Amino acid sequence: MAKKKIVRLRRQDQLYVQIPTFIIIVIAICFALLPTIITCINSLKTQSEINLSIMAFPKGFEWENYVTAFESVKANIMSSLIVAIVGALGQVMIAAVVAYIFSYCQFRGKNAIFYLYISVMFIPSALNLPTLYALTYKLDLINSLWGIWLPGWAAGQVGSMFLLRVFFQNQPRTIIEAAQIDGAGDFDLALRIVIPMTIPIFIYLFLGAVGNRYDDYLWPSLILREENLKMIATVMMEKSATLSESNMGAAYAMYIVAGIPMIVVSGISLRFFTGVEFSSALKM
Amino acid sequence: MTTNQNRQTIRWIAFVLSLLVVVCGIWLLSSVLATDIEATAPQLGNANVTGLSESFDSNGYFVMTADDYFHEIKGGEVIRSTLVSKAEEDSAELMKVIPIHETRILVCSRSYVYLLDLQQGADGKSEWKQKDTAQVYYYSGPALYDFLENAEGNVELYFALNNTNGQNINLEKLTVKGDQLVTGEVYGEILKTSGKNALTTMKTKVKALSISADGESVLIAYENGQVMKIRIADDDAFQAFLSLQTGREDRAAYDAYGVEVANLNDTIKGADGHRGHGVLYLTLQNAREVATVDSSLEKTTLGKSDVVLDRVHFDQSENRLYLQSDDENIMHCFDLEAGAFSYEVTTVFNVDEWAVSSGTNEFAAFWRSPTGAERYLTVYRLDALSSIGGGALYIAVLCLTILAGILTVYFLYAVIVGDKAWASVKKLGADIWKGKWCYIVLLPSFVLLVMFALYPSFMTVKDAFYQHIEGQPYIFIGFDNFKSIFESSFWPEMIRNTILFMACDIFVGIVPPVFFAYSIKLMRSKKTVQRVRLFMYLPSILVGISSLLVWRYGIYGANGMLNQFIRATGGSTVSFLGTTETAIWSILVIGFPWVGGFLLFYGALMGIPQEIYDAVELEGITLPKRFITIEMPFIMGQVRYVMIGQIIAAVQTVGRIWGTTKGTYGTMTPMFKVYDYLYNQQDYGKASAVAVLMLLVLSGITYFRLKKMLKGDQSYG
Repeated sequence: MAKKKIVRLRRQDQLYVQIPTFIIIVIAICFALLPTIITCINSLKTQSEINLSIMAFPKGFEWENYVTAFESVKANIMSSLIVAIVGALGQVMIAAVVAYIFSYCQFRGKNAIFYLYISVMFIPSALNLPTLYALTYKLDLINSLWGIWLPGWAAGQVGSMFLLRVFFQNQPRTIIEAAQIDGAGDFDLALRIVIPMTIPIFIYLFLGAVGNRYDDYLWPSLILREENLKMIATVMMEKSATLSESNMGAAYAMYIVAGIPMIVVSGISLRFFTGVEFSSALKM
Repeated sequence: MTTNQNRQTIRWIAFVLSLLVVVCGIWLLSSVLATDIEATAPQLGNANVTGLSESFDSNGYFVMTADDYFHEIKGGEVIRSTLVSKAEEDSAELMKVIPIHETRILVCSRSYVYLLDLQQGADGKSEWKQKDTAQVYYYSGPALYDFLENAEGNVELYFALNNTNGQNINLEKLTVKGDQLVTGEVYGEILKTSGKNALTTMKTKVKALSISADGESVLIAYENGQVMKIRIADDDAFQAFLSLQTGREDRAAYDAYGVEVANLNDTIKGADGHRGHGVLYLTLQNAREVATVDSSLEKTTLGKSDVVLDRVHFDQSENRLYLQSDDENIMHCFDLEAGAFSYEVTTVFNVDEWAVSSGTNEFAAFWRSPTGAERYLTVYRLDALSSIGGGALYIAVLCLTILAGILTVYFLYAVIVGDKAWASVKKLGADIWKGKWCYIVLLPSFVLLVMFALYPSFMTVKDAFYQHIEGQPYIFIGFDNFKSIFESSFWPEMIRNTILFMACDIFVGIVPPVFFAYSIKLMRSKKTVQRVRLFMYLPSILVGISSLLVWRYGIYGANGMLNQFIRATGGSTVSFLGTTETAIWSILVIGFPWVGGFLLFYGALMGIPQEIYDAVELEGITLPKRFITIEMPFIMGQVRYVMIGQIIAAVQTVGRIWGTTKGTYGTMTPMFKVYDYLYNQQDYGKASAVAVLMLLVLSGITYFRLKKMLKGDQSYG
């Protein structure tokens, strides 16, 4: 006779725990989604409907709002995308090169230089800001996208480089050694073995960097003065203020329109990466 | 003497020599670096500068301030400050000083003119005595003027005034007879002819005027490209001319009076007249040229430039023109004798007015901050022309100095270590050469790093102790920046807000997400977990600042959710973000229910091995106790990580303020103040001071991270 397993219901699985917990979760989610819901609902309303009630469902669907919003900020979204993508790409590529050098090359002073790089991570960004602004002004990079890219690469490369170096060091040495025995030179090694291995983390860092740079507002608003160059976060402040007077619905639509590129980015990262891996990878 | 001693002596000599070269090099470099421009700001008290004018002999200037004083400046020093007692009805600022003579000036506000004479006072010192006051009939801004001394020895001033509507140009004559100002002798509107045999308003602006040497006529340059020569010798006739009306009736009289007009077919952007010589210097917009027109009404091109030059100032004593373009902060100097541009000087923001001091190569610029709120006076001293050769020389000296520096270090090393020095250097060289590719590949990234991420931090710390304001001289001021921050009105609120944000952010960054993650974990069904993750992904469609704006308008706004609810229940609209009592708390609440960061903790919780649960479950533990003894220790690492991140972010809070109140209503934070100092006031010194204060606050955390890092706990990087 098969032994009947007595499965005692764990305390946590009992209903008097499950139901309240579930309710708490639902309430939390509702509140967390509140801004999103408000945005979606109101983006399709006319001004008068909004004045009437924020929470009500729109009677007709004012798709016009989206058109207005898009027209208003399309140049800025473009600008933000260019800044974010080029910035992220540059940062990750530079970081990859540097991480590779620190992982696989031996040279005099390597540790000293490495600590110099790491030291940047301990500098609060506020400390850099005033002189960086003065420097950018002297170098005539105000109102130029390079004024955003160059400092961005300088600071961003460190974080990405750090993670990449850890990743490189965790790769099995055997593959590399085998390749070296087979006569692969440094360049070959990098190109045909190391790089294909790193593509997933490369993408992860790239997407993360794009996400960070896209809605950056502080530095760009100091640097970019020309209307069409301004990035989306800076511009949304001013434009939503003007729009709220006349057409609040379009302002809400603008929030969504501005976020579309980021939805794509987060969608991709969500599919590939889950929090569990990240958390356990960093040995806390 | 043994060869060893010989060698040692040689090393010492070489060391001292190369040290000398280094010292010379640094001295040379710093004197080259000390720019041609030495900017000083004369101490004028706290009042805003309202006007700037040249002195009679062009070796100094007058500066007017908002407290109705005018200050005379010679050689960079204020030699005298005089208060002008204005007429009761005169509420405008002093804008201009017209020096008629060494000892006689007219001080003008918008529509009043005050006559002052320099006289010996009771104590033997010269001081200005106010003699008369006159009201100018037509006014709309700083007057353009010229004056002459007439046959009776009285000074006649002609003011040409642009009317605010941009249509009319009025001319008014003011005579100084003895100690009195006489107005109203000649005043009226200058008209022009129109094709329809009629007279019409000028519909343009006056740019400059100049009375001819013989005092018979005046040359006037207009923005629309016309230069007019009008007779002024006969007062009555001139008055009659100025009293002509628009329309057809007076056309004949106008033609009879005889006005000569030259049409330059271009917009005159800037102009200045050579006082009393009937010569005008002007810049043309489309042709991009600098030209001159004299009484013959012939235009002579003096030179061309790449940019459109907007303002011209004629320096009589040096026979030079100073020109500025609105698009760039550069002042161009045109030498009239040489007939060419002689040098350029980078100034500050658009200069409103400038006065040139002859013979001393000095000029004063009167300019505004970007917001227009503050106005500055800066005096520039040009000591040498910046030449092209200088650049190459600079680089050569720099290289030589660096080389000498390396040699100095080497010889010092050699002196200490003796014979082994060369060998170790050779080994060092060999090592470096072996790894040359590594260094080369690393170079661009390293340069970027030092230039934009390391060097700025040091410079900021240094700047905190200096006065570093755009356009002001760079001088060491010790703790003054810090003092003004501590004494400012927003300092207490900055401290309070920083503490609030720190406490709040630490709490909301840990407690709600942990709670939420734990709740999810408790759920029996795995599908619930997946659904929750899906729902929680949705808010990410709102980019950071968007969700802030939704809170600002959609929840806190006048028509927002909360206010609609309040109104529905009979209350009146509350301005959450616009009232000092509620503003900071409203901002703290943003982000409710703060569960977005649950993923990290969830991952950690899922990593707890099942065996531990089974072991504990047998003993019948309660849920809360279980949480404390099992889950909590497991997530402590994440908690610490989040806590550090939150503290660092909280001290540097700026986003939530920037998107909502911009620091008003008691919501100022240090980081926002840094932004404010940089963007609105170009005050790098004070911004650096605030940044240094923030560094001090964060230094404890930074030290903690550093320690953990060195112990091998890489996550804190």
